[in-house]
Amino acid sequence: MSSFEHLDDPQPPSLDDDRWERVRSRSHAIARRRRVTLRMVTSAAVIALVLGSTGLALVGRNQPGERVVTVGGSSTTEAVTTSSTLDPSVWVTVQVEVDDAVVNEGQNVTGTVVFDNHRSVRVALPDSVHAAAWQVAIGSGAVEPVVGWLDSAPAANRLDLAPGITRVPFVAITRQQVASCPNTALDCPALLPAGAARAWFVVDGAIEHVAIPAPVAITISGRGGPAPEPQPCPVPSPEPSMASGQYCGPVPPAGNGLGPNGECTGRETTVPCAAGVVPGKYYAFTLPGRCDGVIVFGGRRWISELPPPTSVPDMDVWMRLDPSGGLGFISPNGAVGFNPEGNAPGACTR
Amino acid sequence: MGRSEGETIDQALAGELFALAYRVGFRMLGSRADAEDVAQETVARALVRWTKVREYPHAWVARVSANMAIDVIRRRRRERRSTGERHDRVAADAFVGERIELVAALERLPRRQRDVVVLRYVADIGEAEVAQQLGCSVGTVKQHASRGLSSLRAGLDIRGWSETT
Repeated sequence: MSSFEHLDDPQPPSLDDDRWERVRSRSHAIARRRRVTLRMVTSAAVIALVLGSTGLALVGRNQPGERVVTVGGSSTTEAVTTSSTLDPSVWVTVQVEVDDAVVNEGQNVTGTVVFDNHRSVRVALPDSVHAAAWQVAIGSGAVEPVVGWLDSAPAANRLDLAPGITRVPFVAITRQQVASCPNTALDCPALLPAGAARAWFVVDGAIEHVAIPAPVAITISGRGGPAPEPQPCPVPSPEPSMASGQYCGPVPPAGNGLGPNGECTGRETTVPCAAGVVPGKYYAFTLPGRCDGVIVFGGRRWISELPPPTSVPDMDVWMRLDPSGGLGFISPNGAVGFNPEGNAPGACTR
Repeated sequence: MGRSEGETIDQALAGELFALAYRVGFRMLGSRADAEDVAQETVARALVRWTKVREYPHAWVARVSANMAIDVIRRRRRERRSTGERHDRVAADAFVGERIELVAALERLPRRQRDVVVLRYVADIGEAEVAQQLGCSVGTVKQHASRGLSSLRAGLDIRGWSETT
């Protein structure tokens, strides 16, 4: 064991009645603020839905002539503006969109997290102090999942949100990753059981100024249960797609990079390795099997949200740059997103 | 005002968590006032989120209190820059340098490693409990702890570091 015992206070205070009362009072204040925040956001969303059909936009970016309120930024010195229909303390609202409401047992749930930064300045999410990470996690039934952050939270989940909408693809697991049970499968918890489940947006700790969305209902279909048959792939499948809940499309060929198997090395001058890729278009790409999860695509370096725990053979996939800037691949073996390198997790050694 | 969900926690358990948060805060900050502020805020937040926190309260409290302690240090740095002070304002005990180095080294660690190092070595939570409370295997904890310690040792000369596996 360590330790830092020599750094301890020799006479630490105890939680006496006075301190206990202060703690309780503070917790009430925090809870009250959370309730107010959520209520205000819910009201604004309902109003927006109602008015949406008439073409009015009450909630959204500040428009010329729109009434706004100005609040002082608590973490910046810059004054900011926000729509008058939102609680000024809410800087970012979050929505979780799942690609498919039904997944097979053990299969990943994919989708997009939509962040709406209501401020006129950039917002870092999460703040590095009170919430170390965010992710979408799947819980059985209506129970919010207990998340093993070490294993299932992608490390590159910090965001620098520009004003407006930012869409971030996610992959949420319904079984523990191999990386978390390096010695034996017995270390791993069971699959999430078939049945009703929910996709939760969860943060690692308390987070302020962010309206946490309600969980999204999904169904995990069991092997022996009444699993809905996946939609048949259209014949012929003109384009790679996961829209039917399974991979449809042509088998991805190797990429055109200069690496031994066609992987991009960074020395290429043509797409998709080099700059110039068209957002929304699928490119044949050889995914390096290195466990650091780093790739080169479109002239940039990216890092996988789910790097393999150990080096694995290269894999041919279809890679696509989302119009909103996110990167991800689909293939008969699954789908994974990437983030710009910069918030990279610790490099693996195997 | 309605009752907060956190009121299901009793004062004895809250006291245990308070002590843990205070220990983490004091080891990093060296100030009784700052450590007490950190501990009170941490336990208050734990109460608010108790339905989530209760599954692994010690790990949650240790991690949040460590993050808050780092925030205190960062805030001091900003204040120091704005006032032109040349030195960190920290508690003046015999281990000021060590505390500053510890916080700086923790800030440099990747988040995963930092979480494990904080839980294992700053909060003194055992491997099995860290693994259980974080929902991962003991092997994973060992792996991150080992890497985290190696990284810390590379930039630290702190007495008392030892690793048991």
